[in-house]
Amino acid sequence: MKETEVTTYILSAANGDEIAREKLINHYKPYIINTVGHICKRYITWSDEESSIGLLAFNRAIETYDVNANKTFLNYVYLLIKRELIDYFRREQNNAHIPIEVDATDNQLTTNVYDIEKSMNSYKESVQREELIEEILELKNTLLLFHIEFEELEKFCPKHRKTKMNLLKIADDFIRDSELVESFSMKKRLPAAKLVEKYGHRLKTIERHRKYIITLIILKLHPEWQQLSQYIEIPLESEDKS
Amino acid sequence: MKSKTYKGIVVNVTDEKISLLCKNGDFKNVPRSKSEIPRIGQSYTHIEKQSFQLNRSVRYVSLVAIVFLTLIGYYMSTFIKEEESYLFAVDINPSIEIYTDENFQVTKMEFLNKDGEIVVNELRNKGAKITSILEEIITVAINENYLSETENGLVNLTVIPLENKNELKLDEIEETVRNSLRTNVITADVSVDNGSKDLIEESRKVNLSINKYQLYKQFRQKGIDVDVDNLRENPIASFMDKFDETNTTIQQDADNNENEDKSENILNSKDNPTQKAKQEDNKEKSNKSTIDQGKQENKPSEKIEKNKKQNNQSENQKSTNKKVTENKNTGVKKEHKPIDASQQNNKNRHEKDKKTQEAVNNENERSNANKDNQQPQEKIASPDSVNGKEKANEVNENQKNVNKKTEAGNQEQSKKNEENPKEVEVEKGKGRDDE
Repeated sequence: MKETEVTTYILSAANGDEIAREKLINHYKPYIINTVGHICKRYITWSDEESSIGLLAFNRAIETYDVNANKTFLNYVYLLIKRELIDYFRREQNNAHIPIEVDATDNQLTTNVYDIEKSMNSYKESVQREELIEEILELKNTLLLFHIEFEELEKFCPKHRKTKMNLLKIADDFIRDSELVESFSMKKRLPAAKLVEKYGHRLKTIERHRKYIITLIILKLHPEWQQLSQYIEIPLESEDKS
Repeated sequence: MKSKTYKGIVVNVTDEKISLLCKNGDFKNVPRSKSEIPRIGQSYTHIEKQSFQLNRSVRYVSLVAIVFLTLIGYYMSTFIKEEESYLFAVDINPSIEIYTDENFQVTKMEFLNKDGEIVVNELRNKGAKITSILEEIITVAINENYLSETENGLVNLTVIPLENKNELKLDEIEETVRNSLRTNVITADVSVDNGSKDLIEESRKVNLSINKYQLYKQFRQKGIDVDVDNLRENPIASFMDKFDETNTTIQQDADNNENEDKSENILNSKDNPTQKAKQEDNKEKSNKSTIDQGKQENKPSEKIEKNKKQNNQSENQKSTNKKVTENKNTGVKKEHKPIDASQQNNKNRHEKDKKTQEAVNNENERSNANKDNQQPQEKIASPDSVNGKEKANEVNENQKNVNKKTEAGNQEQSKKNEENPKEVEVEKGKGRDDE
């Protein structure tokens, strides 16, 4: 989702487009849950009360987000979620549920916000981070279409540099072949047999690293994810250097 | 410990793991600490301590193995200790220590000097009973010329019970040693003694065999300096000369104070002085062939007669002397056993010689101490006297050899005899040990 795309969705959702709102929420769900967990300093699932507070805050962020303001949407969401949670914690305090860390995080937040507003560097950084978060969220959603989770990717990672080079080569070959790419994005499946047929790669290698190859292909198909793309290209460069 | 660092951006956070996208394009799941929820997109560094998993298992295995080995070692050591209940220290010159179990089955043998090593290596059956081992040691010692027919040897045996019970019969042990000596026609003094555990430690300190240590102790009591190294490598017998000489002077004083009975015993027990006396006698042998006691007495006795003119009772005196020494042997085994041996080995020339010498000495002594007269008649039939007569000539020859060696001492002794009869007696007792 590009930034302009996001703003249009936000605007339409704020004007009562439920589908756009639903799309936004779905897209930012991982971010919301992660933010809530980060603020609460414990792992939060969707069955926790804090997560619904986070969702409510996100919902309000859609309605109240000022597109023309000098804030990124994600940062705004973060602020809202944090405030909502702090309110929630204060309410809970009366019931003797005291998360001790709240005060500390509160201070951190104000200084953080202050810093962001004051310094261009930190602003750029934060923007970069927001972009990275966006990219990760999009990657995550895309991978979900292929039934791939981040956690399981570790298993399919190549252990040796040679294999990694080999896999990158496979992904490059794949992208160049429009026919393969088409079937790939249509069927959400890696056409391994055709790939082997056309380019003579070893089927065993492809099978062993199937999900990693899919991730590579997805990343290569989305060159607009600049930051994430860096992570993939680096091994090539380092290889060249060495 | 090695550690590996993973640095990357957080792409996903779950209950237990954080998924990282590392700079090299790898995806890595790292464990999440409970208090930490990194934000998505945040850069995150994880340091993984690499504990050697293989090594860990190896460590446990080795630990178990060590425990196991120590346990086994412990049981083994206790087991071995239990096995050894007696220590037999044998000194001929070869010094050997034999450890046996309760049933006198040999468990271990140690040699304490080079000669001992030779003998131990010669032994064939090292797990036999103590008696057979002792016999074998003696035969080996004879084969290796530590004991010979021509020389009078000395076999020292000290038995030390390592456990508190002592069911040992010293007499039996002594008997076996004597028997094996007899079968090999060897003349040797045998001394069997009982020791205590303390002796072992003390002797170890000085690095002497137990028997030699006892000798060493005696030397020291008498105030004599002995070179320990010398004592270690040389047979005990060679040191007895020294010991006797010093003994005489010391014992003289003691004798003077003691009862007359004791003085008799001392006289009887000391054979060597007789030898010296014999030397003088030998020179005179040729002159007088048969005199006072013509039937049984030999030339040496004749000589003695000449010298002291009291030959009449020489035979009787000899026998009495022997018996007296026997009595002593039972009481004080070490000092007087040589006499027992001589009685048993009637056919050995040396012993015969000694006896004849003893007789001579006794005569001398009698002149000094009249009390001996009471006993002689009872023991007339002693075999020694008979043998002594027959082999008198041979004896004389042997004596001459001996005499040459000890001439100087004899001269001194003769002087002493003139001065103080008791001294002579004492010297005789010590001289015997030399043989």
